[in-house]
Amino acid sequence: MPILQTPLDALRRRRSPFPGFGLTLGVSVTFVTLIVLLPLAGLGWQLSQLGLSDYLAVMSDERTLAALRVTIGAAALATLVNGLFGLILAWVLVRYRFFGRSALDALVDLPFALPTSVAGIALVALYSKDGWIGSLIAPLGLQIAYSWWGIVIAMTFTSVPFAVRAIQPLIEELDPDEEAAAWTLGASRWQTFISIVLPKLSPGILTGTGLSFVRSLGEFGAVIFIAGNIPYQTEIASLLIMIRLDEFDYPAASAIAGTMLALSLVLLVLINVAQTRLYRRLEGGS
Amino acid sequence: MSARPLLIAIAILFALVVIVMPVAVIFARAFAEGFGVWLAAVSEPETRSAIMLTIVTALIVVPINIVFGLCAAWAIARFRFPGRRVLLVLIELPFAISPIVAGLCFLLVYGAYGPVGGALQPYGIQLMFNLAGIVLVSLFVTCPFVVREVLPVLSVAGEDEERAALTLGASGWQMFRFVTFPNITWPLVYGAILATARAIGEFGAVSVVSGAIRGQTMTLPLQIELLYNDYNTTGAFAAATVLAFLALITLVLRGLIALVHPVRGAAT
Amino acid sequence: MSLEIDRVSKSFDGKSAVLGDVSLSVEDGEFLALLGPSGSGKTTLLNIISGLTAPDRGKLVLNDEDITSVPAARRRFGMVFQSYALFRHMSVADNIGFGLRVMDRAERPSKADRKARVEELLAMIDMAGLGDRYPAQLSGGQRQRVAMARALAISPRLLLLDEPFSALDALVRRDLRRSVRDLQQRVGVTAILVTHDQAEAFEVADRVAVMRDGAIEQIGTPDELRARPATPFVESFLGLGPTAPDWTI
Repeated sequence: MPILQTPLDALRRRRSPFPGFGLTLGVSVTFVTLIVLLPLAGLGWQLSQLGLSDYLAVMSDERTLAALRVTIGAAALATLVNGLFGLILAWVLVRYRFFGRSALDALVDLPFALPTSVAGIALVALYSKDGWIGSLIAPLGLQIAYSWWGIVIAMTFTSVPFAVRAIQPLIEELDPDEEAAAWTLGASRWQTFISIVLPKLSPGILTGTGLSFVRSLGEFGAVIFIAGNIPYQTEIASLLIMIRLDEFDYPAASAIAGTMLALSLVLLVLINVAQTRLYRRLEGGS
Repeated sequence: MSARPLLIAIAILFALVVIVMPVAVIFARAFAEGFGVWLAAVSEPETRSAIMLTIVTALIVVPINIVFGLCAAWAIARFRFPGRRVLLVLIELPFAISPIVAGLCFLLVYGAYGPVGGALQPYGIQLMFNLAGIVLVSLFVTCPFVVREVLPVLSVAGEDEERAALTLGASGWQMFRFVTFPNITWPLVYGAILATARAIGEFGAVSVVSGAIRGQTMTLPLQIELLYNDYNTTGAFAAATVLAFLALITLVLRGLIALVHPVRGAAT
Repeated sequence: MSLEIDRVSKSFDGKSAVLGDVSLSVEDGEFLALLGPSGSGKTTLLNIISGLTAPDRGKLVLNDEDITSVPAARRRFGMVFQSYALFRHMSVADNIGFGLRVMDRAERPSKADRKARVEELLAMIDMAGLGDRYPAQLSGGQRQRVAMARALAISPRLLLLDEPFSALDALVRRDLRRSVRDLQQRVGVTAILVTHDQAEAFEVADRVAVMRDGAIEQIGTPDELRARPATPFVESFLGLGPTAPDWTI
């Protein structure tokens, strides 16, 4: 009996009785090619056209370097703040029952749901000299809006859910008996936390802060309103890309964008690798 | 001494200052001059057309995302084929790419000087600086949402039920409609809500490709920036309340769905 | 309906064969058991018969009709799964009526006829009046019976049973073996049962095919197998050796 077998049939027929393989894979591959693969390839192509010396010229430009410093520094501080407060928030949400807990839990997702430009103008309104918070600290001679600190505030806002949501499930999985055992052995609460709890939460803290950092590096909408955007001082990398684009300097824009993209991807891969290692060590240890 | 009250106080204070106050200030500023002023501001012709454009964008993007998400989840969950893992990584990738970089990528390929955009130009087809461009980048930023929610549920549930449906004579479509779909309805709705919220709120990527033509290619998030830079703060905050309100609705819906359907994927 | 299995082979990932040139004929109205330890290929053989798995080589003939390349949905074989695979979100009645509901318009019975048929089947499995329940509200034995009724509803040309008793406790299992056999006799359908439990196979089946490593080691009536085990494997697997444990409950 002659059976006409297309290569597609050969791919799947033998394993799955389910229909729709050609259609669903076709739609998926077409979509991903047009929407994800092709645009990324475009950036890669533009960078390959650029040549190393031109690339280095763009990247060693003082203004580019300053933008990278501002962005990375602010992202690092925002990540630190989120790591600390994210841990506290996650802990409180899992371990304590109090009035308003579920409201607090829902609120954590608000920065994800709120469009970034809305967050941007809201933060300016809050931290400018006549704002609710800005007016409180102005007499102390402090200014957040239109300064580097504003960038940190904006990045903190947009990335706080990453930290909380990555740490929360690990706290849920903790075995309270282990903590109790440590107390009965005479450990103080603080010692227990440092030696028993923290190591178990480390994969979550790593992922949470890592994602929070990557998100902060790329944040644009929330930052540009509050940053002041002064070149060399409060200009973030994303904005500099935008400015180069407006000048039709596509090579320079691509060079900075490619660098930021590479940095994010490398970080994400590192987080992934480190996380698997941490889990393996935790499992090996217990 | 117990750490409990102190930690709860810190958590609530942090949430109030960092998360709640920004949202509260939007409503406070928008309604500072009364409801009438707010209403006038949101019914400005430019703001109205921005709202319309945003709705149209979401109405195009979300259905495409649902169809793609279902197809990808089905292909990945039910079949083994070479490149399956690569497909998964590519679908997740948009989460890792910052909005401005994403916008730039689209400009490089689909813009007038890019390979695809350049090839289409002689036919009078332009993909950037108009609705098409806004739709394309919105598809990019919302790409993973539906797959992410549907795939885990599809992977663990229902394969035997689907086999049973097939042996009982169901066609592929009947199997999907009567057996597969009821198992993934809630994750699908959940993913679609997240995608809608993102499509409505995207700022950075859209601002690269929109062309920023007043009253024509300004989505609501862009319009907010425009009004703000025009020193029309009341208008900006009024427009912002619309988006903030939608964000709050998203949160409420998420909460409700989590109640009906406790199994859910990773948080965004 | 009689089924002819002609030199069927199957391997996964191109590795060692799960089934190697298996041939077997099942007679009209017969109850055949495929008996073997896990990994013997019995479930793969059943899946090939059902059409859920495609064989690499070989032929399936049902009453002179070559069904090798007929998709599962067109074979009209009723199948009872090990997990029962009841549709969780459908009531018992909707589960049983599913096969009738998805028939081609030309063959599909009217709504009233479908309802009557479902009631009839519910009565047959002693679950009259429980049609509005959902699978989650049923006991293990009830679920198995619903799965059975669902498979019988389409007037199957063959009834395929994949370890249908393995999820049940011993007492229920014994009851259900008898009721499955009774139903099969009453409907007069040709049935193939996959099991690893020799007591089960001997109690319900007319003939038993003992499988090992993707091949049929011996086939015969329970009496024949008991009297003349062909190989040491059959002897020991059936517990016929001198020191064999007593596997019958």
